[in-house]
Amino acid sequence: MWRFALVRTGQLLVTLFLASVAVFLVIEHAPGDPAQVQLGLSATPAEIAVERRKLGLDASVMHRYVVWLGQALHLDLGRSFATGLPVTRTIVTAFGYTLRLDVLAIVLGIALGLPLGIAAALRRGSRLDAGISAFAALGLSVPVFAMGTLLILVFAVHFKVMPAAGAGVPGQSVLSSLRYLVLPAATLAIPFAAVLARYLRVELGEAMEQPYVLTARSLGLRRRTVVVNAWRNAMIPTITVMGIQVGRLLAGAIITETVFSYPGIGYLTVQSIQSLDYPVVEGVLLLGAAVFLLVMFVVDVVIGFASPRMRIEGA
Amino acid sequence: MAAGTETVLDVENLRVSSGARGERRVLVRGVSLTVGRRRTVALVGESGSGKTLTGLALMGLTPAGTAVAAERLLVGGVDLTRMSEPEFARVRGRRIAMVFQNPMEALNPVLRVGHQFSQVLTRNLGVSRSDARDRARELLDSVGVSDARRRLGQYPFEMSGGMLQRMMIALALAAEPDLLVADEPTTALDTTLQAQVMALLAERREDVGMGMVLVSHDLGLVAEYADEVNVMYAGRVVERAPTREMFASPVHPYTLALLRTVREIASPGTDRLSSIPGSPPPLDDPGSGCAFAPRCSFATAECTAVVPELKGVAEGHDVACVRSER
Amino acid sequence: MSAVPVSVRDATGPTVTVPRWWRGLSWRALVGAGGVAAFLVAAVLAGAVSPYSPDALAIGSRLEGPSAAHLLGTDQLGRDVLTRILYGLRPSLESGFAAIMMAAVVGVALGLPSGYFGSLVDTVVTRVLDLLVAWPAVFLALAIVLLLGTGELQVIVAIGLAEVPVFSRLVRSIAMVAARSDHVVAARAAGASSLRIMLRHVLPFVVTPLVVQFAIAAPQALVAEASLNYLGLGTHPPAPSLGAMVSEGQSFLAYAAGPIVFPILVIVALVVSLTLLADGLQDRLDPRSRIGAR
Repeated sequence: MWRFALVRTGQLLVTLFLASVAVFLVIEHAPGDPAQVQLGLSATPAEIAVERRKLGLDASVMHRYVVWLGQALHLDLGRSFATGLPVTRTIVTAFGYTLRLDVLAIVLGIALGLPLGIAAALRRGSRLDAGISAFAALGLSVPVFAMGTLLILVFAVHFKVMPAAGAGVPGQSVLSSLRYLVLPAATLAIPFAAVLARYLRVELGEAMEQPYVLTARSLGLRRRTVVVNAWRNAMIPTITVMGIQVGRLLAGAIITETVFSYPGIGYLTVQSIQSLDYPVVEGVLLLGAAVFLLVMFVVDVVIGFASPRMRIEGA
Repeated sequence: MAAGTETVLDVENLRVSSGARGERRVLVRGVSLTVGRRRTVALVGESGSGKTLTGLALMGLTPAGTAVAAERLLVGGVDLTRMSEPEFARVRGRRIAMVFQNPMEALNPVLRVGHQFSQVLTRNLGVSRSDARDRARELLDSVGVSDARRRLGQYPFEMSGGMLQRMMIALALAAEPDLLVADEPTTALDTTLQAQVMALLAERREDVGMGMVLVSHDLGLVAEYADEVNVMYAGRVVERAPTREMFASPVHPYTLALLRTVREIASPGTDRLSSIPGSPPPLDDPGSGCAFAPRCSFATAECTAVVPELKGVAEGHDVACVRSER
Repeated sequence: MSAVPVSVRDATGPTVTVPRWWRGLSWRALVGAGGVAAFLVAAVLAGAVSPYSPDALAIGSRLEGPSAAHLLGTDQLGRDVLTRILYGLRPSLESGFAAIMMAAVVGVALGLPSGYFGSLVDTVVTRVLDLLVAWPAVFLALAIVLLLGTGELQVIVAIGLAEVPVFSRLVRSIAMVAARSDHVVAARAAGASSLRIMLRHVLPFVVTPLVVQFAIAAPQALVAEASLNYLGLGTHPPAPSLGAMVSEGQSFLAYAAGPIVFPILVIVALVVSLTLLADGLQDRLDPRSRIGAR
């Protein structure tokens, strides 16, 4: 198992390195000259040349990549063209918002998906099961942006019980900042819950049909104990899928945050791309890859430790 | 059955059916069994004869969508017919227990064996977790598993089939039940292990003082370990006799055919297995009259007309066949 | 698919030959197929059905509710919502189809040699694909838009690239098994070239799973297309697209819900239809595998 973890760590580092090269090259080939962007359209060619040297743009690509990577490793990603603030600080602030949103979304998603999935699995073929399956199918068929817009329409515009956009003002109470989180978190949580319910239904349903369930019942164990034992089997494949879903929350956040003008990483990404704010774009793309890969890595390792067979016999 | 033996299982006219009210399909058609303490009663037949379903019905563990009914179902004197599921769950593992065919699949793969023992022992013996650990070790000793401490820390996939079946037996007998249903307990094991596990079951039967229902298609095994044999066909018992009598003077054509296949395998020089021609009918559709008639070389017009009832031909020997009624 | 018909031999009747995939499609799959067909027809006939131009402004009749003149009302610029939906279906269906087509072609081109040759080729391809899945699909799309600017073609490339790994892995896994099959070994012994073997003997194994994967990817691609348009990375205004209609209408949500709700309903109906069709095809073509469910 430790060997497996070590190999996976190696893979993670290699992919991260390649991802950094990819990010660098994308920015390198993106239209627009950073020096030009810095100085504005009125700059003369001479001024631009000076600026290019100042920004280190006259060095070779290899050289610039190494310098850039070295700085990135020291968490120095330069300053935003748009605001002049250090990119790292901008990203950390935005990431804090996104983290809050994602955590709430995961909590809501589990709180909704877990009971629905278990209920459907234990009553397979019933009307309840059919209803839950229909909900899950619909939850997955409505695109995130549509879900968000519909929630705004119902709860912000029609009933006026929730704010439609933003994250409120700094220094507000926890409760009022929570109000801003509810709708975007629900937008992310619904498809999350739908996937969770679907998988749990299939996996737990299958686990409940395994011979060991019959054995457990023949030994007189309580239904609750029997279900919990089966659930532990069902959770291993379910964790894998949910890990991928957590990774996808990041993608979902881009759209959700745009729908709700919520100042997280996703919103920052779209904004920085639209305004060609390259240092910020580099930062968010790097962070995006790092977080996504890290989540996948954690899922793999968690699965390794959750499955006794893998833990003992190795991958 | 020897006089003076206490009865631990008394079931009369057990029926299992499936499907909704309108289109109910009957699968087990009235099985009656009596098992005394320290006695073994065998249910034999081909696969699809309803013998496993009968065993599960005694446990109240038939698959979802099936219904069980009986005139009488007493285990250790307790009436199981009117029990709710939670009540029945309290009986299982305490008064009546079961050992299954495939030990490799019988235990939960993601839980340590010790944890599974702990769950069963705390529930059925009412002991604390730490006492359960001691009890688990004693139980493993009693089924011949050495190095109990290490074994309890392992997962099922780390053990052999024979070892797991010993564990299963230990779990099933932990609360010293009145009755054990052993469903093909050695079929999934190597030949050398089969004798060991059967010997263990016989030994534990004496120690615990329970009765046993042995579900098997293996007549050799049955001949050696059962006191009474019930031959099942298409959801019915077609012949019932003390073991010695059954093998000495079988009456039902189906029993004759079954025994012939065994003798052919056992006698040297034969390399071909002449099984009974044809296959058993589906459980829910045995046809009219005697279900075995289409495959029976003695069948007459009368056979397809009426379903023969079990009738005594000798002391403790009942047969359901029109030929025996003359 | 018609290349691999199966014979259905009835005990009493004559031998019937039907295309494999059409047999026994569930009613759900048929409903899905019907829905998809209806949307396709609507998109194709948009110009013939609607008396309006999708871009015709009518400042006098802005944000009107549904009426006989405008069945689904008008948007913030007085344009007919129904007309814009009908025209907006076109880029959705075109881009979605083109993107998956691209993913399938690239997936086969990468996966076939990867699975057939194994070793070094396989390692290189797998590493490259790892890089593609290192980002959530939207990040990938954003990077592409950054490189190539906004537009329908960019959307196609972005969605297609995001779907490539799934197709490639599918093809690879099948090619790996097929490469060891008897008739491939026989063909190799007979001196056939690797390319010829891959196309003649390995590719046929891949066709059915590809059809299923195509169907599974279709609703995903559609959602992706609408999402990218919502983010303003796709078609350029005023060209109509379902995603852009929602994003444009959002500012006027307080005054009229129609310009948003109707496009959303259409997207959801289309996605549901495609999903039903995909589920049906999957059940029909590979009942054992659960590609979509895992």
